[in-house]
Amino acid sequence: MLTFESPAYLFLLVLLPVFMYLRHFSPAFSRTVRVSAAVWRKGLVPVRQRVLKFFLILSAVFFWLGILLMGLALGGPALSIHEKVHLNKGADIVFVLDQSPSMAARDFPPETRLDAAVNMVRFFVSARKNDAVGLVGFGEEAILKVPPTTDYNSFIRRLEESQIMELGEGTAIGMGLAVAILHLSESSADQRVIILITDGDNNAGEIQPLAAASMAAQMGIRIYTIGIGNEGEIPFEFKNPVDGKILSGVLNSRFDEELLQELAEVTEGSFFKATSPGTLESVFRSIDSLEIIEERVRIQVKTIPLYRLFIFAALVLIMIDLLFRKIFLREVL
Amino acid sequence: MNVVYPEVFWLLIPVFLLLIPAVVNYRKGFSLLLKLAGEWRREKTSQAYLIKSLIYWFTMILFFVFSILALAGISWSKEAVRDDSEGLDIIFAVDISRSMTAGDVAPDRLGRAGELISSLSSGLKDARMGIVIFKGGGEVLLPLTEDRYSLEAAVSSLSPFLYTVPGSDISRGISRAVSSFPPGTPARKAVVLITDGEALEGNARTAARDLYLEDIKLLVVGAGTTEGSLIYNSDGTVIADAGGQPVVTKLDISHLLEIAESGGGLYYDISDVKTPGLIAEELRSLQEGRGSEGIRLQDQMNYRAFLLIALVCLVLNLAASRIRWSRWY
Repeated sequence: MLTFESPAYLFLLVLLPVFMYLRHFSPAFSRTVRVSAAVWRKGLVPVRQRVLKFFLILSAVFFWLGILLMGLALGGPALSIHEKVHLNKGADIVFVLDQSPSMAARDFPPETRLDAAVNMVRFFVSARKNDAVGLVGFGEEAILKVPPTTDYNSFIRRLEESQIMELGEGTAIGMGLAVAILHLSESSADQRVIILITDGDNNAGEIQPLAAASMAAQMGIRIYTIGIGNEGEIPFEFKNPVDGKILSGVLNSRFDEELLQELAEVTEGSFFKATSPGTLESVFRSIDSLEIIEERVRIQVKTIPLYRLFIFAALVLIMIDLLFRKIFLREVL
Repeated sequence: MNVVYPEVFWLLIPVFLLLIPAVVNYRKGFSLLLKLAGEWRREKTSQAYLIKSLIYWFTMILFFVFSILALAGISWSKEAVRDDSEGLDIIFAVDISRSMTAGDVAPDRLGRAGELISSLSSGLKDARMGIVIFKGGGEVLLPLTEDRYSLEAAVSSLSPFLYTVPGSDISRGISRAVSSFPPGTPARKAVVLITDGEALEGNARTAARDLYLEDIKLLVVGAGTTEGSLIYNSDGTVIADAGGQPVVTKLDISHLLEIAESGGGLYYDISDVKTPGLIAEELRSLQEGRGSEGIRLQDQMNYRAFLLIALVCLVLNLAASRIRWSRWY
C-alpha cells in the first residue's frame, strides 16, 4: 500500500494550479509570440500547427507531471508492508528420519516410504511459522543434517536431498535419537520434540533406543514415533548412492511396534502407525494438534521508501520538456 | 555525513552538459530576436536577453543539481525510531576462496576466521548464529540456530573445498547472508563478513548498502596482512599465475573499508587480539542500544531540504521566463 511519511508536505501541491494558471492562462504572464523562422527563409511552414500544438501540450503535461511527482516526493511516498512478528519462541522439533534400504519399499504408491515421509515432513514444516525444525538422518550411523532452525528454506532443501542408504544399510534408531537429543540439549525452547519416522528394528549403533529415550525423558524432550509401512512382502527399488546401481527386489517388512510404543510412552509422547499416504497425513495432523503453543504476535509495518523513484521520474519528465522546448522548438525565453 | 547513493553524482555530468544546448539556444535565439526587434535596438535586446538567459539557465541547472543531491541519500542527522527488537541473529559470511588458506596470519586466514567465530559463539550465548560461505557464489553452510554443537562442527569444516563455484565475489556472500535471515523474527540482525577483500567480480559496496537499508548491522573483518603471502596447493607447490609467477595474496584494506562505509558498518583486523572482544561488545550493544524506552537513533535521510531548494529554483526559473520584456524597452 502506498503511504506518505509526512503528508503535510502534500499541501504544497495546492500551489500547483496557481503556477499552471500563471504560466499558461494568466493574461499578465502567459503571453507568448510564436514565430516561424522557416517562413522567412523559404516561404514554407514545415510543421503543421495542429501537430505543433499537440507537442506543446504534451511537453507541458510532462513538465507539470514532473512537478507533481516532485511535490509527492516531498511527502515521503513509501510502500508499506505488514509483517507478522512472533514475540515468543515456538517449539523446537527435530525429525529423526530412517534412511535404511527398507525405506525404498513401494507401499505408498507411487512413492517409496522415504518419499512419502519427506513429502509429509515438508508439508508439516511449511505450515510452521515460528517453530525451529531440525533433521537427523540415520541408517547404520546417524548424522545431524539440519540443526533446529527457523530457516525453513534451508531445512527443506536439505530434507529433499535425503537418499536411501546414504548412511549405510542398518537401522540405528538409538543413535538417531541420541544425535537429536544432543542438538536439543542447549535449546531454550519451552517445548522440545523429536519425531521419529522409521520402518524397522533397531539393528545397529552403540546406543540402545530405550537408553536414548530415558535420556530424552530426563531432559523433558517428548518423542513421537511413527511406524511407517505395511507388514509383509513389499517390492522395493532404489539407486545405491555409492555405485549408482539400481537395486530391486522384495523385502519382508515389519517394524518393532512394541519398541516404538515404549519409546513414546517413556517420554510422554505418542506412537502412530502409518500404513498409507492418508494415514501418514493424519498422523502429522495429530502431532500438529498435540503441539500447541500460544502465539504472541505483533504486526510490524515495514516501509520501503519510494521518494527516489518519484524524483528520478520527475527529473526525466522535466528534462524531456526542457530539451523539447529549447532544442526542437527553439524557445527563446 | 553519510552518502548512501554516491553513484548518482555521475548524473551531474549530463546536467553540466546542458550548458551546450544553453549556448546554442542563446545564439539562435539572439539572432531571431534581432530579426524581430531590429538592429536599431540591438544593445537593449542583447542586454535583456543575456540577463534573462543567465537567470533561466542558472536556475534550471541549480534545479537539476539540487534534485540530484536529493537523490543521493545524504544523511547528516539522526532520528529517534521505535525499536521493539528482542534477541540477536548473527550470520557469519566467510570467504572460503583459495586465498583464505594463506598463512600470513597463524594458523591461516580461514583457521583464524574459525577461531573468531568460536570465540564470539562462546561470548554471545543468547544469540542465534549461522554461517554463509562464499566464493564465486554464496551458500548457507549452517542456517540460523541456537545449536552451538552444530556451529562448532561447521567451523571445523571450513575449507575451500566445501564449495566448488570458482571465483571470488564478496557481494554474493553478503546477499546470501541477507536472504538467510528468516522473516517474522523480532531479533536485531548483524552480518559479520570475514574476508581478505580480494574480489574478482561483483559490487560488494552495493550489496553492503542493501544491508544498511535493511537495517542490518555490518561488521567487516579483514583476514590477512598487507604484506601478503604465497598460496600453496595441497601438494605443497606454490600457486602461480598464467605467466608462471607465484601468486601473492594481500589483504585489501581499502576495499574492505569501502564496503564497511557503504554498509554503515565497522572494520576490524583479524590479526588484532582485541578484535573478538570489540566485535562482541559491538554486537551486545545492538541489543542494548534501544534503551529502556524502546527507542533508538537511526540515520535520517535529509533529501527534503535539497528538494525544496530545487523547487524554489524552478519557481525562480518560471519567474525569469515570465519577466516582461517591456521593462527594458
